[in-house]
Amino acid sequence: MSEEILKALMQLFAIITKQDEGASDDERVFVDHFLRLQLSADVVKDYLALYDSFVEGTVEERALAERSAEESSKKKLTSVKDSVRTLSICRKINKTLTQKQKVIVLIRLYELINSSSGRTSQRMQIIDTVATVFNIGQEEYKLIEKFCLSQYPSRELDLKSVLLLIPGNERPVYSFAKSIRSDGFVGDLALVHINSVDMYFLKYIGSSDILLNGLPIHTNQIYLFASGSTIKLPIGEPIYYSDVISRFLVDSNIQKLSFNVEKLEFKFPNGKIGLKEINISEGAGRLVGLMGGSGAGKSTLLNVLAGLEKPSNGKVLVNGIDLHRESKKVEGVIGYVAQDDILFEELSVYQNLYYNAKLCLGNLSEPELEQRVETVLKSLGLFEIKDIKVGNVLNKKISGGQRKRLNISLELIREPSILFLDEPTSGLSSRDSENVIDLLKELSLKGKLIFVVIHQPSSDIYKMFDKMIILDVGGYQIYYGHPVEAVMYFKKVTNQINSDIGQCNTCGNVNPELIFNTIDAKVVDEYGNLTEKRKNTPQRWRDYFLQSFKADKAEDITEKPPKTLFIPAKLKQFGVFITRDFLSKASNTQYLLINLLEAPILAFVLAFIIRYVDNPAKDTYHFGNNENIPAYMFMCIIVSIFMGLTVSAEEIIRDAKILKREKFLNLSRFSYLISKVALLFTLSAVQSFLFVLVGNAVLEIHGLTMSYWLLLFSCSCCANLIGLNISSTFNSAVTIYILIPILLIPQMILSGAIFSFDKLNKAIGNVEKVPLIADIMTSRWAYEALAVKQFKDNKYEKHIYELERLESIYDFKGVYWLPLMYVKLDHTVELTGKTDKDSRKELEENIVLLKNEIKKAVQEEDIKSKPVFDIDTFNVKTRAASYDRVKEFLDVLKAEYAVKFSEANTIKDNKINNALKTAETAALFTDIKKGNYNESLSDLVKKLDNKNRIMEYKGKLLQVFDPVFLYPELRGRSALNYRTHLYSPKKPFLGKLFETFTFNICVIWIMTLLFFITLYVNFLKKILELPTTIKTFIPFNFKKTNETN
Amino acid sequence: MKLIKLLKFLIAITAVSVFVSGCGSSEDEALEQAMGKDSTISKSEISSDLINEIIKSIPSPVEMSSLIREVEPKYNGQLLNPAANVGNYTTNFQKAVNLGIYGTDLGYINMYNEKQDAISYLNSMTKLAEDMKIGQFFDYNMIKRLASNSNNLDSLLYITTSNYDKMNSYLQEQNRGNLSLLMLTGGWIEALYIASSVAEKDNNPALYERVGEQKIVLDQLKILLDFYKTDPHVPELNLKLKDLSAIYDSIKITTEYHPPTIEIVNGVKMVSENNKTVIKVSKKEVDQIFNLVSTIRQDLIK
Repeated sequence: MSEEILKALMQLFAIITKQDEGASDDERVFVDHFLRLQLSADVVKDYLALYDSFVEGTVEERALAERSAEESSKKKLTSVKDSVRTLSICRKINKTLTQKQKVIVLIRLYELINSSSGRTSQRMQIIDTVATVFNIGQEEYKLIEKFCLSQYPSRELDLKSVLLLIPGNERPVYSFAKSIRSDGFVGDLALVHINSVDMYFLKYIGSSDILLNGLPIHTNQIYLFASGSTIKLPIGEPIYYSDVISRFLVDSNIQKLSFNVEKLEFKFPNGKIGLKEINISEGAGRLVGLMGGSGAGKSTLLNVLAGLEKPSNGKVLVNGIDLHRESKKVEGVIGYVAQDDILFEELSVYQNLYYNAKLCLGNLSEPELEQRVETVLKSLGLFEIKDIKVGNVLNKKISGGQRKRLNISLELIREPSILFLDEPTSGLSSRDSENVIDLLKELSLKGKLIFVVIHQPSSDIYKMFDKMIILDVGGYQIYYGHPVEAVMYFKKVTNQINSDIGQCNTCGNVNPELIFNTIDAKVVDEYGNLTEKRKNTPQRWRDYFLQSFKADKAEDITEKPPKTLFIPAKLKQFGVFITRDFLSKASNTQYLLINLLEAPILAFVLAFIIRYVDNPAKDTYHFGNNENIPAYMFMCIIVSIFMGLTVSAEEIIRDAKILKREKFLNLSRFSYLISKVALLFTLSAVQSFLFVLVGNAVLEIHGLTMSYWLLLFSCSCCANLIGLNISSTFNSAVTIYILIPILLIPQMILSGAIFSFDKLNKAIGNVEKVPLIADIMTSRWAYEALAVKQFKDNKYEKHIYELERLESIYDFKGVYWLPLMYVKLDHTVELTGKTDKDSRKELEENIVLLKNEIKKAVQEEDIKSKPVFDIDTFNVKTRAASYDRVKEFLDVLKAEYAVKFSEANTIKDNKINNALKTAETAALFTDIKKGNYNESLSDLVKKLDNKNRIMEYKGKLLQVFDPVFLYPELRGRSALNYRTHLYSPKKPFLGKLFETFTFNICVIWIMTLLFFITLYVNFLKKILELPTTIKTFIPFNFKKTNETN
Repeated sequence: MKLIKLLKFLIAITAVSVFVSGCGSSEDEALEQAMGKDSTISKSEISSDLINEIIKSIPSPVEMSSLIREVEPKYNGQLLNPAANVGNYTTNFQKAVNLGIYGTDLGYINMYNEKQDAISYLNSMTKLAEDMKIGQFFDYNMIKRLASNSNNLDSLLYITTSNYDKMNSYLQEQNRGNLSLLMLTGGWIEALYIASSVAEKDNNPALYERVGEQKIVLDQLKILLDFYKTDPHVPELNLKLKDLSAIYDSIKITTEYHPPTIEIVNGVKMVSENNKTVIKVSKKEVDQIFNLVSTIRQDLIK
């Protein structure tokens, strides 16, 4: 209170007291008393003098007035003058004092009147004026008046806003007022609630020794009953602030709530005991604190109570419903605020809260939602910074206190009926801490039940709690009751002095550290040194507690607990997730730049370096002669996979805490994953596109841009999903990044580009078809697809591919297959008749081979010649003469192959000759060939470097030459057997042949889908956790527990 | 907002690139049209025996090369058809002719033992052979044999001739006999070119004679080429060779009669023919031949 105001108040007092008879001594005593409450002794004197001067001044005026003719008129004059003066003083006060202070002033005025019991109409009129100017509602003003002036509260004050203390044995019935019973209470005690300023006032008329916050109260005086106050009665239980509040709460529209915890126990996966027999019983409108030393189990208890962990014994009942066993029924009732930040760094304060609200309050319309967000921000003092980005811990944009408040607001916005907070004040300044706890207190006053783990609270904060639960190491509950009482309890139990004093008498300060010092007090050895051994073990504390207190359980309310969580439909969730993620990424300039520029820059560097001109004399670049093209294609694929992995590797782990919360809220993991996938795919699409654009432009690869893009996009997407899988499995970002090269290297080795599949370790490699282990590598499918596509479908080759294919097939048959067949045939004829074991064996093998090959030759579609014999009838006993028919057949085939070859060759040659007829078309032809047909690539897919062109393998003759012209055999193949040689132009499946490019891309997408499924069921993580899950099935525990008794 | 700018930029790029890739399709159509529909030309029926007879009588270009070596000790790589030209040959005609040309070039290089050039020419030849689907005749073993016998003329002759025979039979079976003829022609033209070029510079009478001798070969070639007139390019070549014939007409080749002699070698009677062939060739004629052959050759190797 400022000097001005005090002066004004003195004037006001003077005006009132001088009405009618003038200032009495009682009144002066009152003023003196009032001043003493506010100021120090010497200053009191000055103000008292001021008061006196005001009073006297007016007395002089009155003397003047008396000398004049009519007293009554002068009286009126003076009262008018006084009224005017009153008004001006009141207006001045209006500008400086808060409403609460004004109410107190008003009450003091009433007390003034009471002190001399002079209730004249003039005085009342002045007070009336004051009340009006102070903007105190008529009803409340009347209430205050009644309260202040009543002499027999228990009879006169049967009003809604009044709480009366009545003796235990009496049974009066009040229609409006609330009551608290107290055995052995003598006297009249009333509490009034002034709604507009949310204040409580106390008045006692009687002669007992009642203590308010440790100080005795005088009869017929009005005291402010502030938050955390306690009324101590000579006999009976003290009355706490929360008791008073809860009586008034019953009145309002607060949902009924009961929260009972019965014999709760919790064991960690490794067998250690986390909580031991915890019992709690609370109702609506309480702020409960949870304290304990390090390792006591505070966070564990909070987690179990909130439903995040399952207890090993006991139960948590919310309105009678078991939280853990019937969790569905209690969905949306509980709120949980973790200790860690779960904010999106790139989004603004507003956006963080907004998107969170969208996910929690799906029942609100858009404007309603925005309104709610604004309201919450304003109530938390975050409205001014709503558009500032949150930033991270290292790069703070908003202060620590603001971050914490924002975190709390995420849960607060849906106003859950039961709220759990894990150390909401850690790391905050004392002012910020107080603000936070204040906020929680307000919430509890609105009827919420709030549990807070608090560490080293200041005295003010400590006193704000309604109840305190104190845990000791090992999860023992060693105290559960009123906070200030705790100090006294611990002092008493250890026989300390002053055990009846909880808080300091003068300043009201409480020292919670005292409690912990007591709990943790160590034994002193014979040398006077402190040992490590505690005086009292946790069990001992627990025993003391159980002896001293009897737990009473609140009744289970049978109403359904109020649900305040309305999560929107999965599709809407998806919308929110994707918007949120997109905005978050878009606001992060660094991220955008790196990820968008990564692709074109890599492409440019790669393409530029390998842009090889083979003829140094001419210095013109021809795509056709660039020997690096096959390697370029390989690098493209590896780069795509690499980019796909790095972009996605951190995605899920970054959101780890947020995910935990979203699981708690039962939000759809599916929607979340789909949103992530959608965003990553979009990014991959853009990256692939930029890469192909730049790379293919520099190297002048024409015409297949979309094919390249589709392939690299598919690779990236598959890699994205692999990355998401590892992101979801491992706990640290470092592990994930180390895994990336471990994943990439097998892709490089088994792609078929660097090491040929037929030249690998026998256990892995395969001559006939691509080894199975390579089939799980994305790169193998991608490289084959790209190589075949680039060779087959480029602008030059596509005109003559089919003809070249026929040429290749018949040439091979004529030049390699037939000669070998003749040789085999002759050899077989030689072997018939020989009887020794080795010859017999060889003969059998040869016959098998002949059978296979003849059958294969016969089934060729275009071949018209058919054998006159049935090869299946040939066996080891067949005579040599029969083989003549086979030879004849081979001769016929030879002729036919020659014809067919010649046909294809001629058609092709004619086509080329046509193209070269005119100079113009010849130039076009050469340009197209040089610009689209790469020699090195064609050498690769034709396996030109292979010395062997035909190979005997498992009773068959394999063509290991010109693989890109060789169609796989459909005969004798099961429907799902797609396996064939590398660079095959078509893939066999379900009895048909499919284009390799299309087929391979489909395979990549099937793998992508598979990876999505493993991501959704968290398959990898479950595999890694297999050892621990197996452990839990082991019935006996090898470790000895440290517990005694 | 930055974001919107970025999006606009991306859309612009996409549009441009799609447009650009669309432009290329007109080229495609032009080429396809130029190539025309699939068609086979009916092959002429020629007795392969007859052709083989004639082909056998044409001497190998290797002989010519050895003579050149004796005359001109200095290796002149510039004379030869550059090995890098192999990329230009797309039709069967071009491939076959130039395979022959490279064959002669290889012979020339071998004479002078230029290993480096030998490798690049071998590569080119192998490539052409693969393209023509006769790669099996130019395999590793054959090349190795050639390389190890580079100093022995007889062996070289034998290897190349027998190889050529095998190749020829194969091509005949495949109804592609025209290709072996074109190879031979190409080889011969290149030999004549190299010989006449050296002759023109050195004025060596022996070389002059050799150049003149080719009249006989030319006549044979013309007959053969006539058989394959269904191949689009052959008549054109034949025409040019007719021009060459015209020059050769002025060269007189006569045979002087000398009685044959009988010798006994290792108890066996041997009859040796002693007829001498006299060729009258003047410098002017050699120059003319050289010029014409150069032109013809230039057309073939470009």
